[in-house]
Amino acid sequence: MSSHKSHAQQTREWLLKQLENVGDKEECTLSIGQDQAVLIYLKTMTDPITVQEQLVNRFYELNDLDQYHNFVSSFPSVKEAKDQDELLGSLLKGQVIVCIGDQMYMFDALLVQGATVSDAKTENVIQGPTDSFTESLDTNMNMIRRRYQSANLKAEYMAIGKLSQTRIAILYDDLRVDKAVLKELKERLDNLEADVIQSASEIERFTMTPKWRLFPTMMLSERPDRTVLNLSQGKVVVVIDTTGYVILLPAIFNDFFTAMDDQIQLPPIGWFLKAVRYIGLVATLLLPALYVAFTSYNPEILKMQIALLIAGSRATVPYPSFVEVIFMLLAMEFLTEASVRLPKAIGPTATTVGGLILGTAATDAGLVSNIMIILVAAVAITNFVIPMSMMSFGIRLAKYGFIMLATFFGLVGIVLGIISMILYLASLRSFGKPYLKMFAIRKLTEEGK
Amino acid sequence: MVRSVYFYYLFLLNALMNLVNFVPRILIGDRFDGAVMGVMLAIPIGMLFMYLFVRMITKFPGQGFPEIFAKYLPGWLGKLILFLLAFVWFSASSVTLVGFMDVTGRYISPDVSPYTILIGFLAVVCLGARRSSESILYALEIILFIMVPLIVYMTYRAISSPYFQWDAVKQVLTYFWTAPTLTSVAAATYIFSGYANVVIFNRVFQKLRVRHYWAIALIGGMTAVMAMLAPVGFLGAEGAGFHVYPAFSTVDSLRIRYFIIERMIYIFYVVYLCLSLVNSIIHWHVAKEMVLGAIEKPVSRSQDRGPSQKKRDTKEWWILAFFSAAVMVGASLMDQFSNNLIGIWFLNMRLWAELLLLILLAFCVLRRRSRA
Repeated sequence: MSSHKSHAQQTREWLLKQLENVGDKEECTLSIGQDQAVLIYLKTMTDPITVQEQLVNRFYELNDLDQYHNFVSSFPSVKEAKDQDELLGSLLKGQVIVCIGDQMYMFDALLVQGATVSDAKTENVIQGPTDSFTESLDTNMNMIRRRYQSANLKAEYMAIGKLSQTRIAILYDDLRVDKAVLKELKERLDNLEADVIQSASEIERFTMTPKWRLFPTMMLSERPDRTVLNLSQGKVVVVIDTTGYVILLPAIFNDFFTAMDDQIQLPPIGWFLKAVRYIGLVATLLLPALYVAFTSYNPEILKMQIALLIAGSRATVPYPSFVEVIFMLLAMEFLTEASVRLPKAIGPTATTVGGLILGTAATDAGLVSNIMIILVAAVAITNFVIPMSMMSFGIRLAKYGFIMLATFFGLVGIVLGIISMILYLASLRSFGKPYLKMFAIRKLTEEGK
Repeated sequence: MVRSVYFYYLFLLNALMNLVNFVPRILIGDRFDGAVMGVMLAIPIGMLFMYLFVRMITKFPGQGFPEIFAKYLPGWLGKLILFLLAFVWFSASSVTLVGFMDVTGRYISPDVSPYTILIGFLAVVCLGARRSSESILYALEIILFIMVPLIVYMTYRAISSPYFQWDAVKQVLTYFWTAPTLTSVAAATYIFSGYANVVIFNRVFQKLRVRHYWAIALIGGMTAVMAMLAPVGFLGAEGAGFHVYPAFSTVDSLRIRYFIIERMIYIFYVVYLCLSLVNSIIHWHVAKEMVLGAIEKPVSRSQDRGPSQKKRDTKEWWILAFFSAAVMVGASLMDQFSNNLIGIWFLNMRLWAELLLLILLAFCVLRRRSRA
């Protein structure tokens, strides 16, 4: 008997060892005199009311271990565990492990956070889950745990911000994570000096060096499926209370051009979509600059007909090409900004006013050329092809750099810009990982294994 | 830490650069005076240099020349040699930059002042040279992956063109057995000199292992042949000698029919501007690190971040500012003729500098063995 008992204890110890560093694990001992029962469960995955009423309150009401034993085993859904692995698996599924003497029961108290979860707003996909993170840390943890049922998923809780004391959780897969990244992240979070932290991007800003960057080196995501995919690739996730976004790191350039669609669609289509995004990147960065270079410096580069076409449509335009480009691009930026702030009801007005009136009227008046309108439209559309908004905003700003270079140096300036941008991106590091590098994805997955 | 594959990139970049710089002009100038045999001789010589260098440098894993010299040479000698080598690297890039400034003014932007263009070049090169060695290699990889397909396409178009005169090529090949001049051998061996950048980049190679020497020899040989014979095929055995930039004149005779750009030369120019800027960045990075190694105590890379970093940054800026000023002054003094002359001097000097490099390295290897 005694050896049997120690077996149950061994199992419990094994279980707790597996759950080392899992911050949302709860172990709760209920005792009446000598007799005691132990509950082990994950706080974020179980319904606290069920646990409290059915397991804790009932224990003290019955006030007798044998009766409690009968009570627990009388539930139709309650099962006795066959082995350790089943026990661990069910725990991760949101069941409560009830240890009474040498018996271990699995009590179903799964909490499904569905009511408060809303659809993804900034990262849409065509087919695939639409749920997105909420402002509650526990709900978010629940959503991640439901998709990633492994004891290797560790969660460490911290509080940051001197005044706000925002709760955050650092999540990672213990076997796949790069320990150096984790260590550096913890150091940076410890050294974080800010009074109030309210959003994921603030952490991004306060922890990254250098502070002046055009491109994000951490990814903000509101999609649980992307988060889980990244966890399985060995990345670290920071879940923050009071914000609907989590931070994924390290993030490299290519990550910002990945959408969850790539995983959902068939592989060739996924590759095609990715290629489209990179073409979009080149187009949105270079088209306006090339327009300036070709009209003001090197019309002879283009085929004769095209050069004449552009010159013809620019015949009425009374100022140099770079003024025209900046004028139109600014108009487009105003439009984009306005449509973000406008209430939903008057949103379509902006598009009508901007698209139809500004576009056609400006050409009719001879203030801008027809080709310029096409170009601005192309730039605006291709800019939003980039799936992650932080990156697409960085690119939106970077294209003005190219326009400036083209204004001063012509085609040479654009080449200078491309070289500097590649060098700049290649010199950035995201937690020690090179930001822009050929074949970076293959490398990461190899390291992940 | 990077993998050995970046060694091939360094070689490839240097080899490709030799399709446009003064090497083809020198080879074409000597086309009736043994340039063909010069190329044939250059392949084994260049490969031998590369092989010996790689064999020796792998004895010093993770160390650049400044660290090696500090350890195995007397202080003053090490510093002197570092300065000398830095000068070689610096002059390699500055001749390229000044040459490209001239090409830009001639073919692309006649309305922009050449000095404005040069300032643009220098700004990018200075900013680029300050990046870490790894970052520069990553950028090099990406740029090569974009540019090499274009170069292959242009080469294919040139050779498959109906206007390519094989007779002219055959005529030049009849001078195969003419004894080569030293200059043409020196010029042709430059194609294989990409390995020399490893003197600094060895710091970041995880475990340098070079195989496929045959592929390197093949690509190098093909580059040399293309550099010399493509202009001959287009401009004629006699006519090729009359052009200042034979490569540009050759590509300018190609037309793209089905694209929005009609003349091949613009694509060629963009490709080679990118390559020569990256090449200059690499050369300046090497030169800068050598000067830094000569005027500073060797610091291990792990200590890079710290209060001494700021001092180092200032020194870096001063070195790069000095380089830039030297190039600006040089550009204002030089014309096409003297730039070409300096190019020839440089190529001859480089051959001996490379020999010196190998001898020094061999000396350090011996010192290391005797100490061990």
